[in-house]
Amino acid sequence: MKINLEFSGGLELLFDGLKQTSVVVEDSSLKNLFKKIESELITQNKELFLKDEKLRPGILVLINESDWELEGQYDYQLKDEDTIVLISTLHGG
Amino acid sequence: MFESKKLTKDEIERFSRQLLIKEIGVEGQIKLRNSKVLVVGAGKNVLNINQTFFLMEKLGGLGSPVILYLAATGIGKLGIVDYDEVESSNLQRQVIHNQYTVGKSKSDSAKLAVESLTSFTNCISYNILLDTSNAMDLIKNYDVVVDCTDNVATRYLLNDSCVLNGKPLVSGSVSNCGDAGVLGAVTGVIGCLQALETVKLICGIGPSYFKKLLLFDALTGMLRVVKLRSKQPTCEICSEEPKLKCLIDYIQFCGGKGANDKAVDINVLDEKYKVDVSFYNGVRKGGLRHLLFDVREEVEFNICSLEDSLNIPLLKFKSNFNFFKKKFEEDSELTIYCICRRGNDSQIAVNFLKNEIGFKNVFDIQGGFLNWSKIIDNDFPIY
Repeated sequence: MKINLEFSGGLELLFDGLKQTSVVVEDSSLKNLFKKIESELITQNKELFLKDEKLRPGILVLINESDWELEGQYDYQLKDEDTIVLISTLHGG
Repeated sequence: MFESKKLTKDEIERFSRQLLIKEIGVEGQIKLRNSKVLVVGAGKNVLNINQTFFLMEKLGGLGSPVILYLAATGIGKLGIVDYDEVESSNLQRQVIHNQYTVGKSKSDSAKLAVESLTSFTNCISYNILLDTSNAMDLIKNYDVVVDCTDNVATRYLLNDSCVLNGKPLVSGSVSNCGDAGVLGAVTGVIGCLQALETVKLICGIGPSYFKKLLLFDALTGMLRVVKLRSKQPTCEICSEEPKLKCLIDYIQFCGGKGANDKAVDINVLDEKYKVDVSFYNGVRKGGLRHLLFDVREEVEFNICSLEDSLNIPLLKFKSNFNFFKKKFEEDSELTIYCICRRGNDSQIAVNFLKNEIGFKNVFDIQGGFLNWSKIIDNDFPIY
């Protein structure tokens, strides 16, 4: 199935400025999607994304425009054409 | 103090444009007049390089529109917290200050601007660093707190102080950290949204972003509003039975990064691979054969650089592996110096060239261009 990905809030810097892309996944858990993103898409500073398979604090995850904490977090089962948005938060003023 | 239920002729004339908005009207204007808002700006960021203190560039651009628009709208009492002085590099986005207030305390400069704008607002400046010892006492005197700060520790401090005091907190931030840039208009957009949200809270119109987060991508112009989860039943501060009943040490909580030490110096390199700027100046003056790698980002390199230096950003070191290897095969004894803005990335660069490529004569120029500008060439720009 096809998953749409968006990176913003500065997180796109880990992807060499890439803001939007899509990936095709077999496995359907969000946890494995993150691993796929880490191994296939991140071009630099991998440690700012995942640590011990957990997302670093300050990264907001939206599943189809809704906070991932409303959707079961890592255990969320992906559906075809889902849009996952990853946003780096906690910045300056 | 007696609080009149009526507006004076002066007030009606001054605020007529918003009195005509039915959601505000006379009632809303009186609420604004009776309200007390605390705007918390930034702390002072001091960077210690070889016992030399530099004031670092940082943010504070949200507070400017927040304070100006809240004052203009007729907020009765406006408190401003900031522990920093106005620098010329602030004026690009902190539009509440001006060239005449450079060097003044930011809270006083902001108060001056408010006082020249309006006599309807009682403005109080607090030239203090907000911390666990003073936050509760300060916040309890206000109705709404607006977070315009630039560091995570103070954001947690404000959140917890507001929860414990039962005060609404209006937060805003712009995507940035120390070295990255920001356009003034972007902080203006976010700051204005914070001011608007505050006015709506006070007038009882209700907030627009309760349990929501507005995201603005300035590059594409895209706005997005997302739903956030509710309170967590296990939250240490806002659950029914919170673990925290008073403030904690937020600098420690955030791993040592507080309002005072945003720019952290690293030391990851053996001393024998470090030279100071005076030594390197001698190398240049003496015409000694060497290569100078400037490991900053290209955008920084374009602002200012040393003649005959080669720009290879640290993040592109790995992809330049073959280039380095070729240089090494041509001359393994080659002397290389690495420089960056303040001497952190250059240490990592030296380690890479030493350990991954095999160079032996590779050195970090300590303190980078900040020291170069301070000690060797005062005309070299600091940004």
